[in-house]
Amino acid sequence: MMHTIRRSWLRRTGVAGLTAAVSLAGATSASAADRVNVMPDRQVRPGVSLPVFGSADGGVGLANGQGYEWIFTPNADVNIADDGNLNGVIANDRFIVENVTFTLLNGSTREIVTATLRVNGDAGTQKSVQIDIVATNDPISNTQLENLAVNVNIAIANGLRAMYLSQVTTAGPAFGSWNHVLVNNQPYNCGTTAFTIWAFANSGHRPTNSVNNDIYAEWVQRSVDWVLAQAFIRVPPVAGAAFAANLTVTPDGNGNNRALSLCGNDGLHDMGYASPTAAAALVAAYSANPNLVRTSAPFNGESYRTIVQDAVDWISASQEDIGFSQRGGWRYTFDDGADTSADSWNYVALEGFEAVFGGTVLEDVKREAERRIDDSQAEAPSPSATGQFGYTGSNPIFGVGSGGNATTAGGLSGLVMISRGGRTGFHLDPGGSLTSAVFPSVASRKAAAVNMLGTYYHVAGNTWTGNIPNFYAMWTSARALRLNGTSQLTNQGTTFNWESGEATSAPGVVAPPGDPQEGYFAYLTRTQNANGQWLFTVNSPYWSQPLNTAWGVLILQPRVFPPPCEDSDNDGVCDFFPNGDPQDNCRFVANPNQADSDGDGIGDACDDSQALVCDVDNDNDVDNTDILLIRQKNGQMAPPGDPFDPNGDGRINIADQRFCALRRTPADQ
Amino acid sequence: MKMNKAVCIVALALLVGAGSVTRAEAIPVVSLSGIPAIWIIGDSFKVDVVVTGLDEATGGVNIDLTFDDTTLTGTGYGFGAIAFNTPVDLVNGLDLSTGFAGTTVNLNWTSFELQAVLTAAQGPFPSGPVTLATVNFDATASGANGFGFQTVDLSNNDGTALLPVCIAGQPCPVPEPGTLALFGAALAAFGVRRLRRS
Repeated sequence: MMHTIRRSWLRRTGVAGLTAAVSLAGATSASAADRVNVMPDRQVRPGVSLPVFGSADGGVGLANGQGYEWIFTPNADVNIADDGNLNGVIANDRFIVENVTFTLLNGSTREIVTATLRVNGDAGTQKSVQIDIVATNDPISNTQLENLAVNVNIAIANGLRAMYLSQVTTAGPAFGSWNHVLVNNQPYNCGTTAFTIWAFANSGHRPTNSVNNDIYAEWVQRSVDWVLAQAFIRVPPVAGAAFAANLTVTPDGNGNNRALSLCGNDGLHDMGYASPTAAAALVAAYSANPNLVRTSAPFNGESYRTIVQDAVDWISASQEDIGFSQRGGWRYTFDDGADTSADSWNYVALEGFEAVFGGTVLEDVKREAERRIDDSQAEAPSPSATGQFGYTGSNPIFGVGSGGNATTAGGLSGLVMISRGGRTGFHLDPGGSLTSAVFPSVASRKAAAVNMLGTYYHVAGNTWTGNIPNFYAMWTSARALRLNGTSQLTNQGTTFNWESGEATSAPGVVAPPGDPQEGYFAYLTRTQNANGQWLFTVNSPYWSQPLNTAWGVLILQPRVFPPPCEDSDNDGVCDFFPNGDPQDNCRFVANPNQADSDGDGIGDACDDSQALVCDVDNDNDVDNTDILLIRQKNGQMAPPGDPFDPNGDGRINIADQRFCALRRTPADQ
Repeated sequence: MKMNKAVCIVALALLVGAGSVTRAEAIPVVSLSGIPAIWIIGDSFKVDVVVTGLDEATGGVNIDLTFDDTTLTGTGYGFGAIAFNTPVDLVNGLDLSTGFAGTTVNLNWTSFELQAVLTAAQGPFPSGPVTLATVNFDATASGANGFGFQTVDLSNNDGTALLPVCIAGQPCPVPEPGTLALFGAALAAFGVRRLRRS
């Protein structure tokens, strides 16, 4: 998790009040907003314009026309430059935005400012977001690796915002989806939507999160609804019959005599890519609660486990049954041959189903996949190719030495899938029919694939070959390497961390831009647009800006699937219950005992109320200095929780002085 | 002419209700006293900040008083002994005034006393005139008038809210619509009784 937020940041070195607080907007409407959301807490660099945004009443137009205001906590060490829209009338209740640039003052290197969005002047309809302003010379950011970590947090936050803003929100059949842009059709749009759901879920914004606490949650839910509305229902083929010729068990894991092509009719070209991605996205989105039952159409009354099982049934049935080199793989449509690119999307869906949902992939499917892996991995005893995966055959795409990183990584994810849980390869491990002197085991195949990903790491990407800046190759590599537990590669004699670009020979040093071993994180954080998007990086009709943005966020997250239990502070207590209700009473500060001595639902470890009220200078007593500091803010408005407004009436004035005069600690009386 | 009963009731309610807006019943009034009609160079005088009609205690004040600095020089200030107990010093309160600056003198006092200062000094409520603060002036030229308030904030005793106050000679805050409606309704009911009696 990006950072720990506690009230201790309120310690200030000066007292001169700087405020952007304003009076309430005059506009009103007949009915006040019931719900306000704000963007998630985040980090930002000083001097960089940040859109601070929120929504009202779910952002579907109901709150348009009402008045709003943004209130920023005064902080003597921060100059808050706004764009003049601190208050007004809501024109777009999905994105009530104020562009702000923070500048740190008085030598401060890190401050946190609270921004509060109020709608319709109703103090009860408001929410606050904490913005962590971090300079590059702050102790949490003053090494190259720390600096990169902060940049990653910022890039993810910006990417999520860009995805949120690019969702189709106009009424109609596309409502809730993301458009691929370059190929505007059902499978491409469904695939784009699925990857975006996945990116949100991997960043902690699950569709099951409370809509009161997560501005993105209900929009991710809408996108899930959209994907499921595309689903095409089939009857699973009987084992041994056409389309299941090599299966000894009918692919119907839950016995409901149904299989699902999630993104639409599997007869449509390219659905063989999109549908398994949708299955993987559902695994990511519901990793904490696969048994959650839907309460609305489509699939009302069915659990996500049932839906994903049916999708896996379809994946199992659509595996290619025949052919010399393509048996056991997947391609554009149902039983349509194989290419390693399509294989990869199916491998990962199956991996997620087993590893995260606890499901079972048919042994027959894994055995068949072994055939495909053997046929697609280059075995030629050549140091420039051995271990690479080809596209439809074993030759690395477009010739040996070109560096088919996407296909090689795709094949690696297949090797991980078939060996998950310590499974021994039926064909590929010793004793199997497909071992060789070059590849005597699954482990040797994995090592060879990893070696090739390192060897060709520096090759510039284009549509199908190379690496950076081909986001498809990067995302496929990132997920395969993570699934395989590989953090380092070797390229041109240098062993380095492929995320950061830190070489083992130069600890703490991040490879510079354009370096052959530049890490994915460094590349992504320096190439993201200010609006959070990553643009079209290679001249290809397939890898569009919306896909790149979702993949960018996915690459920047350290995992392929979110864990069943999100535990931001690693204290062994999940952040949320499976239904989305808060569980950890102090999410960002480890408190395994969950102590809550005052019973207010906020753990002692981060309960501001445990702090001394009126001790605004944080010196553990309440004395005349505290009253003086409050007095110096007389006349200012205060957002909820502002310690300078101890009586909590939203204004700092003589009443707060009196309030604290009655609470001076005995030693100071 | 015989007046329709309903019209009479509404008119009565509106008339009296409207009057309540400017009469500011039950809202304490802050005023100045001791201002000479005119002053000439060499005069010295003091001006008291006085509140009347307090119906609960105050635990602190923050006042910005304005004056004509082309004819007057502020020479000192103090807080009312009755209002804030005697002696007024750091033992029982905190003076955080910023004092004289141009045409303004800021008077900021917070009591340390647990019990409301005016409860002990003045009760029962509503109180008569209570001096909150006194400001001393020397005249540097002939002059008259020119005093006013920029800020008049009085805390209640426990520091949870400001007390509503009016400034003498200025319109009082308009009561909340809900309060006004209730007030009007009560008056309307009163009017009905009067009409029935007649």
